[in-house]
Amino acid sequence: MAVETASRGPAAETGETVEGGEPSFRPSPIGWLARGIVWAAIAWLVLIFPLGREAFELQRYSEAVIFGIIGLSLNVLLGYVGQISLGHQAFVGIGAFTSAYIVTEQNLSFWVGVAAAVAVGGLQALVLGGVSLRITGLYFAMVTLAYGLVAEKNIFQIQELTGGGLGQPAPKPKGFESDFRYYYLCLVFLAIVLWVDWRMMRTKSGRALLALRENPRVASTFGVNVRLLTLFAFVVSGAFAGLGGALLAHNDTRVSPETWSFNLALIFVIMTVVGGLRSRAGVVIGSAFFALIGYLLDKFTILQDGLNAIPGAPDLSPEIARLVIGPVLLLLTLTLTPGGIGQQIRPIVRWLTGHRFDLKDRGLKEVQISDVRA
Amino acid sequence: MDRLRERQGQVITAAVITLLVLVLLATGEKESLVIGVITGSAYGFLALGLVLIYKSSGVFNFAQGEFGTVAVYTLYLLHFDVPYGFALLGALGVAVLMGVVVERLVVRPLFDAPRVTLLVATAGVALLSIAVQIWFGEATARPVGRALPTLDRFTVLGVQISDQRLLLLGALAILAGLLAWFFNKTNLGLAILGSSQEPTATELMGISVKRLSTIVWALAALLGGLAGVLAVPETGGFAPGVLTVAFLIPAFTAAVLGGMTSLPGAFLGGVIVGVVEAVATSAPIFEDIPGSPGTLLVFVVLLIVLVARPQGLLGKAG
Amino acid sequence: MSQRARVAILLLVVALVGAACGQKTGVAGTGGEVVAGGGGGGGGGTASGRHEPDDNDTSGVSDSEIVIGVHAPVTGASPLPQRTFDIGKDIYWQLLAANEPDALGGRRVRVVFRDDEFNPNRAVEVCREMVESEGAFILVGGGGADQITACAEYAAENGVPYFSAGVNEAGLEEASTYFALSLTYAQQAPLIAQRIKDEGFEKVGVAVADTPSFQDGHDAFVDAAEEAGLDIVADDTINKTASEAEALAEVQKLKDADAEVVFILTSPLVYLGIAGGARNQNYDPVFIGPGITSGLNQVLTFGCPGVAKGRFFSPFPELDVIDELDPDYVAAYEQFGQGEPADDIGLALWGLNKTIRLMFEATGDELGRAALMNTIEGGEVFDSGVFAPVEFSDGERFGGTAAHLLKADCDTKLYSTEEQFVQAEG
Repeated sequence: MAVETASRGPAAETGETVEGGEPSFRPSPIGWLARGIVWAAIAWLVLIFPLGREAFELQRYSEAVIFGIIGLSLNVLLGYVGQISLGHQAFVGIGAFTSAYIVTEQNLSFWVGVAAAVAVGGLQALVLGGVSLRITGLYFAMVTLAYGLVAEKNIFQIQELTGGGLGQPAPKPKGFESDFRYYYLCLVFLAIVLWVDWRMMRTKSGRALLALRENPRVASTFGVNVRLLTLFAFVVSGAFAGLGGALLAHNDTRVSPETWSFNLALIFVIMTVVGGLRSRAGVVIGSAFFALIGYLLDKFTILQDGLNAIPGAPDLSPEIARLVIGPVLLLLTLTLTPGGIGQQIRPIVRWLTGHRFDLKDRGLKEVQISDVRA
Repeated sequence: MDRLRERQGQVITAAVITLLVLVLLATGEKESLVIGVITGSAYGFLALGLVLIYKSSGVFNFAQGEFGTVAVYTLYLLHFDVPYGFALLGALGVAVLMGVVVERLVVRPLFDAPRVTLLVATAGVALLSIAVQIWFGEATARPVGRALPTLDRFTVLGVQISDQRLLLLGALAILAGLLAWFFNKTNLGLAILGSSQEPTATELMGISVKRLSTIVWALAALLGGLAGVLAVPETGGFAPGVLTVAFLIPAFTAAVLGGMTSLPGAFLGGVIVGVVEAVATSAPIFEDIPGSPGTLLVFVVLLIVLVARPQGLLGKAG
Repeated sequence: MSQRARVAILLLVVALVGAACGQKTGVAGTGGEVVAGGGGGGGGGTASGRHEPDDNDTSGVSDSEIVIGVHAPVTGASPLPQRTFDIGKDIYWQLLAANEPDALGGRRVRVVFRDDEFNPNRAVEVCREMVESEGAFILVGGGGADQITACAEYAAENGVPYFSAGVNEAGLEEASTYFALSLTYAQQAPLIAQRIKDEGFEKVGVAVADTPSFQDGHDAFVDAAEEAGLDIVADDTINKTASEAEALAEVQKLKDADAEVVFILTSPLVYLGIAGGARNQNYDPVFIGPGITSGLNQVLTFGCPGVAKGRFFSPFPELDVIDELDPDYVAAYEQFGQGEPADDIGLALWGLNKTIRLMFEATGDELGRAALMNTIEGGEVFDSGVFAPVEFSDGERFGGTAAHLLKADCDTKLYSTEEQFVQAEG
């Protein structure tokens, strides 16, 4: 039973049916219909709705999807491994510049660029992962922070690779030149990332990783090499981040060093935490939200008017609103609902995947950023 | 055994410093030495606050720089209408207030949370502070004058030292010493240290852990505020988030280098980081490093310290 | 597993189908949609050829209004004050509407402003937004060489006329829809070298920000200085966002080299760092450089007394002489300034807007992008009286002919106009 209990924990958190867990529940035909309608609505929002928008809006939507990928990548580190990365923008940025460089300077195809970005992302994450075995917790956070700075101020200033202040052009791939097609391409990549993440966490090693955070001794009873596992997780995280970077580069058709500031690293952390650690759906939603804040504020000026109505405060432009909303949401999440959006939507996600709708279901354990070895 | 380790730490530190000074003088980088001490003193000041909070609650306080920026901002707003001295006091008062508010709203609810959660939370506070500054003011820089106007009190090794700089250095040295004495010798100081290690025992002794927490954060905010109002006017002015953007990371490196649990270490760490940065920027061997050589070198120093001697130069092991 | 897998596969299939159909339905969305990203739009002719109208030729021009899109950094590494832009962008057009309601065929000009965050990426994004969402007829770059270069590329690909004060030349020479309305850095370089020579200085230090955009300005100055017989004793690049330590180190180098004059081409914050550092070290060179942003008054508010010996060329004169050149300016601020004082950033925008107005008028009532650009390239001289006259013949992208020399005055904390309309060669 001990093994089952241990395996129920992480599995239940990632929302799957488990034999030997709760008694099996099958929704009624109406239940199926209701679920189907909601799924269809979601599919419509993601797939059909964008077709009616203008091209530059699609560029924003693509960015939201890519942020989802980046959030998932950070979630692997933050949520699964339990190490904090304050330099994640470096992983993404290096992926972006790699792909841009491959396509523009080496004249190879977009797909080679993406593959290279994934490889490079994974590689540097591997190195950092090695460092994390030696230096843990808060100190590791400092190292990632400093690494992010080095990326911004040294690596991205190498003009041959990155084009200096003006940046490096990164044209869209053949066959996907329009923003519409590129958006769907990004969706496909997101689906792939989600699938890889899901499969990874279903394996024995994946479950051991999750258990590792709660209880290091249990993890070793799974018979897996803890160190190797950690390194593997880092590589996956880096690979996803590199992919995200490459996609971002070609979405903007240009990569410049200024983008990869410490501010961006914090935004990544915020969107992942607010999204909810270990909740894939939550992380994707949270990340997309943060990518779209400026866009939403522009579209729905009511929000802006509301913010401007705060007495005594000067007008809030979308850029500044973005700066303000992020940290506020973060602080609210950390102090009030540590599980973030994921925690809040958990009942809905469970319902959609064929379970009973249970408002009280907040996951087996409150998941926060946790510090395994500090 | 601890004594021996402490001695070891002090010897290593003395050796490192002497080596550094000799190398610099020999290679003709004497100006870097002085410039480094100057800029490093600001880092050391911030590092003091960082170490204070870490010693008492194990938290890496990312908002430490913002205590300083808020103080400078207040100084700027007040000094038009009010004599500089009062403006300074007002600025420090606001900084302390901010420290208390942060403690109440952010640190208290997360008292038992993992330390990394608190790190992220304080980062959120810093971000929010910067965002509010940009919102209510502009993103552009603003001027703020010095407390002491004399620019060339001394000239050391070809570099001019102003009164303001001396004030900063002096305040730093005095505070580092004061705080060290406070933690080692006074009841309150020992209680604070004790409360972080044994909160239950502390409560049982009739000391309110929560009250201590407020005191510590207020004190750290005061230190941050002082760092801001003494160091920033020397550069002529400030932009939103000035201390966080320019000083915080080197300050963290300084704290780690000196030993996150040693206050004199923070002071020394700051100076060493400042010198490393200054040398990286001016020495010809580093000229070909793309971008900012200082950033890279500070990163290397951080790595070396964390791998080779994680407790820093003067910190306690384990 | 099965139901999830089925749903997932279904979604994947729909996604792929969507990708395949995406192109077609996209165009159906809004008629005359500008093709995004790497694909070329119509409109842009060759650098010296005639422009042909495309589907979007009159986008942003209606019988009642013309829309102009302006971008500039108000946040980021080198911000300008937001409020000044909010007011300054409209003032000229507001005065025009009040005094000459029949100008421009009775149309009103509406200006849209966006923050480019001092990031070339973001500049392209906001330029695109202003054209495609706000329907801008033309684009104007407020400042920041990298951002201007990036947006100019976008504008050229999509046939949108793009104007800015002169900055770099590299990367902009091929932008077929770009027009620099004042002297570029490279064009100002010989003027600066000559000025240094005339004042009897010999030892010159050079401090230029480390970005490719400034390279041609740097090289032009070095060449001009050598031609003028000046002695370049220090020639350094400094980080685009230099820290205090880096600024101090640079000061030390210049001081050790004994430079009497320093040619400076960096962002204003870095200039302030260097000037301030110099003052602290009792080192007092003359700082001189091309415009634009280091010659703004906000630099003096901040930087005195370190910047007391600063001289900068600028496309626009300073407030001390504007009443002679254009009395409307101060009057317009009194009427439409919403309480803000008339300042020099507003003056830069005024000069840009005034020149653009002349260009609109020269094109006539049948206002379209191609017609506008062809008119401009026709060789006519546009003289706003504020900026020096501009002229774009033979497909020349850089139409400036002269610049004003500004001199810092730390008593008033304002720049004064030392010399107006210093003519460039050629």
